[in-house]
Amino acid sequence: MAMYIRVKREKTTYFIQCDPTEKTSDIKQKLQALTDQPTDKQRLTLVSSNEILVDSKTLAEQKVENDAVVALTFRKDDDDFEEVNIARPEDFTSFS
Amino acid sequence: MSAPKKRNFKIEAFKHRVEIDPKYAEKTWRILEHAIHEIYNHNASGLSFEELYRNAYNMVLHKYGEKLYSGLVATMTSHLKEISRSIEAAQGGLFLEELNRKWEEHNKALQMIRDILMYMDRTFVPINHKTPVHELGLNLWRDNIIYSSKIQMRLLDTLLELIQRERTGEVINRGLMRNITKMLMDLGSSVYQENFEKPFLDVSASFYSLESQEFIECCDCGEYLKKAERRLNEEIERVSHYLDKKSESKITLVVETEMIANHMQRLVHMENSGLVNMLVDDKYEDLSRMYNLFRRVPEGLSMIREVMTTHLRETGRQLVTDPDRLKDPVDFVQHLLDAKDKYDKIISTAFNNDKAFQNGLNSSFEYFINLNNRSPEFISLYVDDKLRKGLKGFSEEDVETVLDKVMMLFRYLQEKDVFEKYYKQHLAKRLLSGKTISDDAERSMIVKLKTECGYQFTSKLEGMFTDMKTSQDTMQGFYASQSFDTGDSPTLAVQVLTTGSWPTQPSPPCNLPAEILGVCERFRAFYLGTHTGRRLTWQTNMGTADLKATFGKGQKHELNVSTYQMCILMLFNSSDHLSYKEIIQATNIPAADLKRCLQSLACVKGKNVLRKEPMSKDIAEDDAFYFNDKFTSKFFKVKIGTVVAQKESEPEKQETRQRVEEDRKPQIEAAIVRIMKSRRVLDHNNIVAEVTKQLQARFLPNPVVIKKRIESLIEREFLERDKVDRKLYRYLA
Amino acid sequence: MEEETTKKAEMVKLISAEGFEFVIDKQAAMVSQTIRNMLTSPGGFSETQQGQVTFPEISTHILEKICQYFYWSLQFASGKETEFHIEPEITLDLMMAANYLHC
Repeated sequence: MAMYIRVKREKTTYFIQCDPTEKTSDIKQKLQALTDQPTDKQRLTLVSSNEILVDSKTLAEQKVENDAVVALTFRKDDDDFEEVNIARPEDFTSFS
Repeated sequence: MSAPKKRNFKIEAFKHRVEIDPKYAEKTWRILEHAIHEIYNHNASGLSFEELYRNAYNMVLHKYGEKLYSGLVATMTSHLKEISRSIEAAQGGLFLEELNRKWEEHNKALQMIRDILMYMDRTFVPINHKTPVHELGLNLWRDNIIYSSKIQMRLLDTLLELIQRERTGEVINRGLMRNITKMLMDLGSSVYQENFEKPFLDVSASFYSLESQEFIECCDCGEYLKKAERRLNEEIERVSHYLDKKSESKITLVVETEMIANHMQRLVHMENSGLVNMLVDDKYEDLSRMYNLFRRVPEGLSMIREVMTTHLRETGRQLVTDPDRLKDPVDFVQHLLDAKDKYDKIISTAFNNDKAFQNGLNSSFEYFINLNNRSPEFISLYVDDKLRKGLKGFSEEDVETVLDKVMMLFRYLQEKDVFEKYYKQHLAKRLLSGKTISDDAERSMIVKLKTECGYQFTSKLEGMFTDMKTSQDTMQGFYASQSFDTGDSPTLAVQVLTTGSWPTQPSPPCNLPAEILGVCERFRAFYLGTHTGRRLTWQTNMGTADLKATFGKGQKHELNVSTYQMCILMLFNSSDHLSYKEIIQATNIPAADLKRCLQSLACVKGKNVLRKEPMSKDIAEDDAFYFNDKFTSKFFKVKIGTVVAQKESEPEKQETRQRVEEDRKPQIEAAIVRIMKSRRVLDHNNIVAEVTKQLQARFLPNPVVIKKRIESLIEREFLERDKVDRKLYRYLA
Repeated sequence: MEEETTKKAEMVKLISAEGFEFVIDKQAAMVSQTIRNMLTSPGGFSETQQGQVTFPEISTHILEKICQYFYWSLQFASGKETEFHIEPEITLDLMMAANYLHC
């Protein structure tokens, strides 16, 4: 395994194994299998720089490194993308 | 958390929930107990592993490990008791199936229980020296199910009965058997052994004891072995299908003991079908089967070997001492070779090329070949026959094969020097009469003898070949030097033989006809002219001649005769009839040779160029001989009994024997001197032993002869006896 | 479709005390002996059936760290030598979780 990234949306984190030479679109393919959202309805944003990842570029080109946190947002019905929303555990109390 | 590197540090688990409900332990245990019931009742689906694991984890963490453990034992035991009742209730054939089904269920439940109690297994169990959950589950199964009074014997009986049924040809459920024996093995090797294996072996022993008794009464040896082999294979197969691998050697030992070891004697010696019959009839398959079965039991192979060598020695002894066989040396040796081939094939085909068997074969041959002191002579005669005509047209390879076989027999000979003596005679005759089929084959044989016995053994034989070659060149030189026309005079072919290399007997030359004498003298002059200082003696007893003869009605023939016979026949150019006395006077041929020559000229039908009066088989001193004008033959060339090598007559044999003994004397003396020179002082027995050892490659010296040689050496002051100990000899430098 | 189910089957979901979800490779999750047992034990525990495990006593923060550890561990096993960084303030909680998860 070359590396992994953490893709986050709301209360969910996907650990995605990948290679620096893979393109953003490849990651979206993987996410499609997990989220059932087609790739064109996904947007990925590198959280550290707040840069939106471009489909045709590789992870390396966009400085996405091992263990990086990437925000996932979906296209809404009105064709806009939702705001980046990553929930924080501090806002939730434990069940027990 | 343990990282693959050296991060394996441990930390005391942190008891975070300090506030504990007083009923906490009981409530938590109830949850787990309930889960265990559900697992046994196949209702586990939907239980949360995490919850159960967490509960067990917390119990252990909060020091309720003992409660958890003892609760587990009690719960599992009660389930097993229930299971036991259900197995006991199973009717007849369903018993094993029920047992197997419950065993599988228990195993599955056990694994689930172990998994959710893993934290207890990891921490509480080792610290408190408890039995781990899985092992505990097996032990409880063993004690509550297998050792249950209503199951234990029933299980054993069922298993043994199924095996018995399979032995009598029924098909049983092997998969089920495998599961059950596997269960016994899983419960520990002692459970398997005590509750199954030992009784199984006992029952098998009595089964095979009985069956072998029955077989041996009604089967011949070959059939019996087939049945034993089949039984053995069946047991091996049974083990592979449903018993512990380790049982194989034990059950095969039972079959081997009962079916083979206990009946070995009787089988081998079985009348009309035992080992000897198999050997005689070349029953390779049966022999191979016997070998493979007997090798499994102690003393099995040595028994086969013993019987084989005894048989071989006995038949060999009969062969070499059979007076009928002695009449034809070639046939005699062929029989030896055939016997060797036969047993070689048996050993390679059926006895796995076993070295011990090959040794037995060799020692047997060595034993009986030397029982007949004519063996060396006969083997040489066999080679003679092969090299004269027997191998004509054979490929080089086939010739080699035959010669190699002969060498094998040669190796068995104790008196190799006797063989050498005969070989030399026979070779000389072959070379001089030009009757050898191939120079290459002759030389190949010499090389083999040389490899076997060393240079000394063959140096004279090789000298003979050199003489033959030199003679050819000499004759070419001779004829090239003769300027006169040789058209009318007889053609002479001389072979100049080095004295000592050839087995010649000094024999006074006979009187040669004048025509021959002339050309002989010219040759002598030529030869001595180039080789000054040498002496030539004519060996007229060894030559041959081709004569042209004209009989009545102008019938012409070419007669191939010996030199002696030529001398006789030439006399008849000048007279029609001659008396025996006239002939002996004119030719000066030794009487014995003359008689033999005349016999072959006058008494053999189809070759009788002379006529004898009176007509009789033997030659008497007052017989008269006539030129047989009426001689006819359908062949142009007539070959008249040149004496071919054949086995010696009794007196000749005695004479050869004497010469061999004479030749041995210097060899024995040389050996004694060699030994004493290095040892200086040695007692009698040791000298005899050493001499025997040194010479055994050539012959086995007789101790009496050795003693005589020692005495002779003492006389000639090479040795002396010790003044005090008369058995001790000293070397005198 | 086929591929997707396989893909999902190779992933498991770990849920923290606060209800946060971590979707990780099964291979990574099995670095924990406890999770391995949960996912492979015979008899159909709910975790095996659903491919998800809830940890009511592990906080989101710790569970995420644990997941990162799983991946680090796989990388380490395949020869990549990096340090696994642990913030001092979470050390104890992390160790407890590791003890519970047997990893």
